[in-house]
Amino acid sequence: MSIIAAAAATTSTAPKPLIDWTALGQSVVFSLVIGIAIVVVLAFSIRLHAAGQKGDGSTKVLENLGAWLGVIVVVAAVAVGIWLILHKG
Amino acid sequence: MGYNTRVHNLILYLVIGTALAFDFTNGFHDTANAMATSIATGAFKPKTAVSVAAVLNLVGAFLSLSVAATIASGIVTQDLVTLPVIFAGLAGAIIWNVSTWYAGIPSSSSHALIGGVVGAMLAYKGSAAVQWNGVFSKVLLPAILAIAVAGALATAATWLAFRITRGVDDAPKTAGFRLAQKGSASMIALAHGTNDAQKTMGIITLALVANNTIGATDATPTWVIASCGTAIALGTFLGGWRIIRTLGKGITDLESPQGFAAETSSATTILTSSYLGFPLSTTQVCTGSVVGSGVGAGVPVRWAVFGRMIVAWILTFPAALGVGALTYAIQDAIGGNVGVAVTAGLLALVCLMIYVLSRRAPVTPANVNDDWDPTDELPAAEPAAAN
Repeated sequence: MSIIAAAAATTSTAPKPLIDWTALGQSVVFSLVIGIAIVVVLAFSIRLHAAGQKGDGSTKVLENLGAWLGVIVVVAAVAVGIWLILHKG
Repeated sequence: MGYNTRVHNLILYLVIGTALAFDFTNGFHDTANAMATSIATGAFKPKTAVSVAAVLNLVGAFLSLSVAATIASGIVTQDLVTLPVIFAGLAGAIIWNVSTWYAGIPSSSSHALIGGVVGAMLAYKGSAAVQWNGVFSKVLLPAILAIAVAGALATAATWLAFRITRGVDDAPKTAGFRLAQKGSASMIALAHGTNDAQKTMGIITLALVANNTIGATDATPTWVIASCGTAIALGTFLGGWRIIRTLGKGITDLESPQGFAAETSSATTILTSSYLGFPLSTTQVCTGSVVGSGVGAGVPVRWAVFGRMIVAWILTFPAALGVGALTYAIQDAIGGNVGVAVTAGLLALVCLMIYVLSRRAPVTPANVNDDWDPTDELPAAEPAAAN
C-alpha cells in the first residue's frame, strides 16, 4: 500500500477548494480585531495599574479594579487560544 | 523473519528515524518563533525560555490528536508517494533546516518538507506527478499573507501599546508587558507543539500503515505521539540560538511593549488561521510580527537582514526540492534499500559537517543577547543605515 493510499484510508476525502477565500478573509479580520483588542486592553490595564499606584481613595480602587479587569480579559483570551488549539480546522 | 521483511523494516526504521530527526530540527529551528522576542526584552532568561517552550511543545503534542495524515496533500499525486519518496523529502527538509539554522535565518520547516517531497516526486515520476497550483496555494500565497497580516497587525498593535501607555513610568510599563509576554510567548509555543509535532506523527503513522505494521483505521500509537513530542521538545530545549539572536536582536531593537504586541499578533494570527482551516507558517508570521513591531514603534528596522530572510524564504522551496530530488536520484541509482541506507549516511554526514562549522562561532545562551549588528555579516549591506 502506498503511503498516501494509506492516508486516504484514514482521512476524509471531501473535496476542498484550492483557496478558501471565506476562511482566508475571516482569518485576516479575526486576527486583526482580536490581536489589537488584546493589546489595547492590556495596555489600558497597565496604565490603570500604574495610575492606581499613585492615586488614593476611591480613584485608586477604581483604577486597580480596571487593571484587574484587563488582566482577566487577557487571561480569558489565553483560554480562548487554548480552545482554538483544541478545535483547530 | 524473511529477508524481504527485514529490508522492508530497515526502510521503515530509517523513515521513522529520519522523521524524528526532522522533528528535532523543526524544534530547534522554531524555538525562536515563540521565545526570541521574550529573550530579547528580558521577559524570560534564555535557558528558562527554551525550557518553557520545550515543555509546552511536549504538552502541545499530546493536546490535540487531529494528526495531519496526508503529506503534501494537494501538491503531489497522492497514490504515487512511497516510503523512499518520503525519506528523500525529509532529507531535503532536514538539510535546508540545518543550513538555515547555521546561517541564523528563520525559515518554514513545512515549506521545506513540501519542497523536499516535491523534489523527490519529480525525480521519481516527473513533473506530471506534481500539482503546481497546490504549491501556489500552500506555499507562495501563505508566505505573502503571513508577512502582510502579521506585519500590519503588529504595527498597529505596537503603535497603540506605546500610545496608550505614554506617560506611564518605565518600570511598571516594562514589568507589565514582560509579564504579559510570558503568556503570549507560551501560547505560541503551545500552538507550535500541536501543529508541528503532529506533522511528524502523521508521517510515522502513515509509514506504519503503509508497512502494514498497524491498520489504516488504528489510532496513532502512543509511542509515536510520545517520541514525536519528545523529539520536538528536545530540539526546542537545545534552542536554535543563532536564529533566536537574529529574530530577537537582528531585525530591530525590541522593548517589552513591542515584544508583547509582536507575540500577540503572532499568536492570534496563527491560532485564528489554523482554526479556520488556513494555516500560515509560524516562522513567517513571527518574523512579520517582529518587523511590524519595529515599524509600529518607529525604531529602525534592519531591512537588509529582513531582505536576506525573504531571499531564504524564496529559496526554501527550490532548495529543498533540489536536495529531495538529488537524494532520491542517488538512492535510486544505488538501488532501493542500500540506496536509502547510503543516503541516510550522507545526510548524517552533511548535518555533522554543518554542526562542526557552527562551532567556529557558537551562539549560546550566554551571548545570545550581546550587542550584535548582523549587517556587518552581510556582504552588500547598507553601512549601518538601520542603526
